[in-house]
Amino acid sequence: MTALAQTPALTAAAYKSDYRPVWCPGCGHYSVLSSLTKALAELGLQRENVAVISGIGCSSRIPAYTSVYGFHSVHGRALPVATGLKVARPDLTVVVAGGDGDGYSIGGNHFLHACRRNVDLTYLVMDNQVYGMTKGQASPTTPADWDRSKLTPHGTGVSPFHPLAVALAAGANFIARCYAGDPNGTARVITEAVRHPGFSMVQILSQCVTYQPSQKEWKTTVRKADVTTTRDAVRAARWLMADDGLSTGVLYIGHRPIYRPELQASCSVDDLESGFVV
Amino acid sequence: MSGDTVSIAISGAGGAGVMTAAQMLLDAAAKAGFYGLMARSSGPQIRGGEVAAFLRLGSRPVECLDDRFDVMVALDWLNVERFAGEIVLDGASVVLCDADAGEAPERIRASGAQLVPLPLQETVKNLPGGRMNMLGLGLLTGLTGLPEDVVGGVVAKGLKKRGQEVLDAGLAGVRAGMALVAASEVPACRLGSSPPAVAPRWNISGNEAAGLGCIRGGIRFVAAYPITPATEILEWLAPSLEKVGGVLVQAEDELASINMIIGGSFGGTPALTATSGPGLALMMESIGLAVASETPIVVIDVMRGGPSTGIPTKSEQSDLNIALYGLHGDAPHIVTAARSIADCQFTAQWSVHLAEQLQVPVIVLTDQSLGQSRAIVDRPADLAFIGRREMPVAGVTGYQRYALTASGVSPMAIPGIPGGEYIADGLEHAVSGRPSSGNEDHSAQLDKRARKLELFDYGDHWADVEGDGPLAIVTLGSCSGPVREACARAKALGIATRLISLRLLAPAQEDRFAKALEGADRVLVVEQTHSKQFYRYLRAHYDLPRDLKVLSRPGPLPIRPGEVFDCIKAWS
Amino acid sequence: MTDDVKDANRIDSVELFLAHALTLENEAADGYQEIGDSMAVHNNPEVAGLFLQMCKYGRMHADEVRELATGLDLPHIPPWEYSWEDGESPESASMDKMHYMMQPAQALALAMKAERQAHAFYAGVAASTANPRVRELAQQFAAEESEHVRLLGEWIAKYPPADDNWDYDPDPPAMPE
Repeated sequence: MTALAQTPALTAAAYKSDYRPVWCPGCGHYSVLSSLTKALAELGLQRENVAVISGIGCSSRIPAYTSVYGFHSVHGRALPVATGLKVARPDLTVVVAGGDGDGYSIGGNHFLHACRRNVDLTYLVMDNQVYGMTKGQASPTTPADWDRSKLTPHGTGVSPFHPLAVALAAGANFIARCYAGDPNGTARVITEAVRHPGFSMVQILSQCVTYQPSQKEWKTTVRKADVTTTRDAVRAARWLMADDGLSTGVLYIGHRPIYRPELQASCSVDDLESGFVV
Repeated sequence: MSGDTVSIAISGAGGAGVMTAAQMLLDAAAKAGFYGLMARSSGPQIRGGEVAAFLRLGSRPVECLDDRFDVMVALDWLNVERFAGEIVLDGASVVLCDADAGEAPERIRASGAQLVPLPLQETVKNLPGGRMNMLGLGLLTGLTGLPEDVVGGVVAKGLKKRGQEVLDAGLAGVRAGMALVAASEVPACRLGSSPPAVAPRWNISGNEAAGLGCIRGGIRFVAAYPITPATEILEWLAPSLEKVGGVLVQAEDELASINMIIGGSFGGTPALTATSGPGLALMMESIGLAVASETPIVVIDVMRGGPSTGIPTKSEQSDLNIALYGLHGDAPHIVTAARSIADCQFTAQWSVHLAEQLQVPVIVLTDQSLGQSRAIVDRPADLAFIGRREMPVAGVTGYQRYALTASGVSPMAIPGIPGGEYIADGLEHAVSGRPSSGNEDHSAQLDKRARKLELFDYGDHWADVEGDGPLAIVTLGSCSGPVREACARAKALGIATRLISLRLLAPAQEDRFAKALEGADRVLVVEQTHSKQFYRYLRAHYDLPRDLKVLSRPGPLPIRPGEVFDCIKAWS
Repeated sequence: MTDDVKDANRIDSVELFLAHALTLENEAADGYQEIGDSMAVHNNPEVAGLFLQMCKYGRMHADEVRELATGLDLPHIPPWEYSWEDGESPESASMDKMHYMMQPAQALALAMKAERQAHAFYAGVAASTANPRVRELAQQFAAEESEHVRLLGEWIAKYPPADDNWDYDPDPPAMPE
């Protein structure tokens, strides 16, 4: 066993709170929670040194179901909250979690810049291609012809967003796709994503049984990617653009510079005054 | 000249170096032991635009521009009409201009000011490497009687990195300017004797002072998006924070800025952003998040003309309403206002202290006229305010982040404290932090968040109250300087007034205000808004005498001490 | 080593076997708990009760395994390196089959499937291992799982099959945020 030497101090269950999720029975987010807690156990992190940051939406409820520190912020702003936390407190492990609407629509600009800035964060996007908290409207990843929402009775007519291709173009340092139906595989990817320095983008296909019941088919259609992890962004881009969005695995590991300002004082506050003295 | 000060305007097109000359004049005055203030105005061009600098120098601290200018130095007449409203001239004013620049604009001529054409261009042409602005500096050195060696020292410091040739040309320009004045019939406009320095003097802008106050208060994390006229706070903070172990992150937008500082503060680092009206509007939702999650943050709003993009380069106090009332829901928070350039430091530092102590967002209002003006001030006294956040001890058991305490403040765990793990939430929550839509939790948490602000003792810092006359002048922010000066003029005429300049706008201090107003039977409200926002705020929160007048005007022109004085005189 | 084990599904040490058994029983119990809680939150107390009951049995089995492991140094295995057939612990009743209006017979059928998978795992280990003690334990555990399957069968028989319109909900979904 490769990890024999590293026995986790806490079990996965110790990272769960006793607060019962409001997610629908059958929701993919349950297994993401399980994957996350397994990864935290595997990483051997103390609870007080981990923070899970989210915005608003079904999946953004996840911090409350963990026993670590967390922030359930406002819609679309999980990434900036997490960025501020990690830059101010580089000693912490910061995981950002949320959904496709939160991350790609209202928070779209932050997504681009978080990839670009490459702060050492792990971003878990539980993608179910729908807004679940507001009765099932189309999200940026919803197929153009999906016509089950009253807001878009003829389908959105808009091409879906390609989060991983965007993440790659914007500069994310680690890019993976997982499936909630594969919790142990997802736990492994989250573990690797946290360990890899810089901004790690993990898209998790996580079915919505209420508004996207056809996602049950993911059980048979999602498969391991027929590609090995690459460091070559050009190769990754070519592969991503040809993929149908249902292949899982770690697709890209980059080695771009990390944004991690040093927080070392070199003078006292009083010294700052000297510039003003007449 | 208004008593012991001299007011000077310098104007010229871009490339003439007006700002550099004005800055050097202020520096030289400071070195010579005088106080002073320097404001600026400019056209919309990024380069090459017309610029005007406004200085007021004197032997006492200067908190505002005067009603008029004693001297104007016009390096050219290009687009100078833009500043006609700002450069108030009268029959006692002197305008030095270039004899070859053509006729002075109509409004200058109509002012009655004495026009003194001098061979400016010609003189500069005959000086190798000569520049108009150094000649202008020389003119003003001659007029004010500032010592040549002091001015020369400032010029040397400013130009030495440009090389000896440039420096020599600069010094030659100054001498040539002084010679032109000496040879002309221009009436002198001398500064009196400089007062002895009791404390070291600083040359500081309101934006720098605000930045320093924040760092002194404990701010070590800043995230912000550039915006006029707040950017200089960030420009000063970025290198300064780095030196004291902090960091400034340039965010992708104001939505990111405000949420980044919430994240930084959640991590235990006192955090700040600085912005102006449009940015503040974008931040509102998350300021509410900081209220609900009880995350201390400080937001400095350097106000400019609004609404929308408005007048980015000019001052106004019209963000008052959004700062006080812009949050959705019942969201008690603190709003403070700095009342002078030096006070930007005090108010900023105090605001950090309040934010940390009360785990609440504080919006600090300053404005363009404070932020982007420089003043020579006595070094402000050291303040004891340091942000101190109450925290639980490591290993705490049964920790409840939003416990209902008598003070309303509950210990705030920060990541790294074992046993303190909790989820901060913008959803209404129970004492544990868990989401709750229950009536009891909502009421209890609303009460708690209101209580902590209501019960806190803000001490004497809530306002500056000066004098005890029956006419109270109630004002805020950058209007305080002109009001104070007007009160001094009134006093010289034997008219007793009292000045109440509010530093703490929210939560309103009803009892303190009533006490400050005791014995006053009339109130004059002075503010720089179009819709009388401050007056309406006062009406909403305080008991005011029936006898009340409002002096309210929007930007871009500053409220002048004379306007306030005229109101006082007319009412006495 | 990992790959060899996976290929042959072979577990040759008692420690390795008990590590698998312990995780299998723990995850089974955790899974039942999660489903039971979820059903309770969604006001399906009957099904919630069934799963919480299953959880209790799972915890008991985990305790038994823990007892057998007393004094042994069980290896730590990352979740994704266990010798499970499809990467997931075999007795996990899969959440993605759950429905908030599910009826007891359906719930028990899903539990039955999980128990059968557990049986298959233990039987597989017994058939492939080279270690007689592991074989003995695996046979014993497989027999227990058979017994669970039998009991579940009896349990299911007490409930009528699900109605035709078992998932009909006349109300639309709510909008919590």
